[in-house]
Amino acid sequence: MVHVSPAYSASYVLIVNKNVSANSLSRNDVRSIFLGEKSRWDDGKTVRFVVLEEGAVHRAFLQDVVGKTTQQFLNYWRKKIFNGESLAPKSVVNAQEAVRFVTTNAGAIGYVSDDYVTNSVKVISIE
Amino acid sequence: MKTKILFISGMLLVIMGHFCASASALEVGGFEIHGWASQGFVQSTEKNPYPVKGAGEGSFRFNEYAINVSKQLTDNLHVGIQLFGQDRGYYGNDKPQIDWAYADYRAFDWLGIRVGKVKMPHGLYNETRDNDMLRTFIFLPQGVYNDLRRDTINSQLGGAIYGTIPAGKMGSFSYVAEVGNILISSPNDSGLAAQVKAQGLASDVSDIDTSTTYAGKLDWQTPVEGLRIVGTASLITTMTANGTVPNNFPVPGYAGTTQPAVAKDWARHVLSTEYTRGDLVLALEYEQIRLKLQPFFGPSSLSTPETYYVSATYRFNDFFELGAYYSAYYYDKNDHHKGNPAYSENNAWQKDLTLTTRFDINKHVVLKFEGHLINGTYLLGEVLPAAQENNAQENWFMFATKLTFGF
Repeated sequence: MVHVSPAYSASYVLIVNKNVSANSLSRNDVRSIFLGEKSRWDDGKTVRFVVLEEGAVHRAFLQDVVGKTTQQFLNYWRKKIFNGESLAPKSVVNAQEAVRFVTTNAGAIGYVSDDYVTNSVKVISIE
Repeated sequence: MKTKILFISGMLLVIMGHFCASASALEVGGFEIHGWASQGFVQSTEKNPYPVKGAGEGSFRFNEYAINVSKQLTDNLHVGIQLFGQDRGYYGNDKPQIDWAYADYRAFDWLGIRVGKVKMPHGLYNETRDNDMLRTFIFLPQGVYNDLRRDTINSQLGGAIYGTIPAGKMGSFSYVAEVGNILISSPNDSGLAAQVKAQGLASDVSDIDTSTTYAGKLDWQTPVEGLRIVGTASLITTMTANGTVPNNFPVPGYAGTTQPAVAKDWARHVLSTEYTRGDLVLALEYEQIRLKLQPFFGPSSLSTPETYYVSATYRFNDFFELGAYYSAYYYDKNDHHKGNPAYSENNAWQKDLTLTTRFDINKHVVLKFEGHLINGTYLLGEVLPAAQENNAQENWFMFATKLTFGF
């Protein structure tokens, strides 16, 4: 479940709130979630995703899974904000805050280094 | 004086950027607030003052600003509004206008609805063309993204449906379909008014009316990683600019009267592709335009321009990005040497080779420098009277720099 990105010397895991029933997601589904295209889990509950503001884990996850550089991801969301399509995604400055957000918000999903995973969240795999 | 204004504006933006470097948005009472402000400078060949009035001597009449407020009301519903203003010397004059303002209800991922003043799709980048922070170039290729025509393709009062449909191994499809009426709130400050004035048909434009307008977009994220193919189309059934005929109009009986200039069945079709591989982004767009022009004096005519461009951008690091494009715009898609008979023979086309450097000072401040080598005067002729365009040079240059602060 730990995904290693040699290019960025970083590894990350995908974490979800414990009320999320999924145990794995396809790469396309994860990408769609973080691009705002998939807003609901299969059971109809709302997806709430959280992103890190910067760092090697952030870069590795965006490049490996979302297929965008940090600048491209930033501008992707700025475009949505400045044409009214969406509000800004929830972003946090460190992994502890990401884990806290996922723990306390139903339907939440995020990514952190496995060093920060606690038993208050569920780790799921990317297929 | 101009140098002082630029210096002070620049320092202000850098300072604002420094103090806001850790903030991505302002939030007040559950409302999210974003905005940006840009100040630029343009210098062109003396006899080819484009795309900003006075560019031949160097001009600072090149700025934009916007602020938006949005709120998520429920998981499925959000509302927002954005005010926007710009100055290009020929048009704009920094008059604030409602850029967009709508309610967005997303019933499903494959079906949402927007009601209000909604942004219009056109090519890859129309919905974000105003914000300098969202692109590499200062000026997007002026064929597909003609700033003079922005008001006629920016947004409309009406409604839209949209959504994204996964297609398995075929990738995914996103769509937008909308209908409404284009509202131009400051007609005399619009780009369309600038063109009508340059042609000597009006000294001022009192109002611009449009009938029903349709627009749509289909965006295919292909199975090839990073490759998207996009088609957009729009149709303005009728657009009428009512203006006061100038006193020096050569035909007796018209001076001082209010007369219409009408464009009918104004259709735009754009086929686009964009390929992203890491920090490299390649784009290619081709557009055909077709409209019937009915001036108040003289015969009607059918206008059939075409335009295309190819661009490449590469980001070297968080600080520096480089971009280049080549674009071409032809007055008549069937004869690339045929132009407006009142203008010079160079008016049949405009070709533009552009090189841009972008520097991200931090997440909130961007500085750019851009050079254009241009052949032909088609777009220049839209903002100059025929007599002045006839003195313009066929081969010319334009340099621009721009500083933007956004949050």
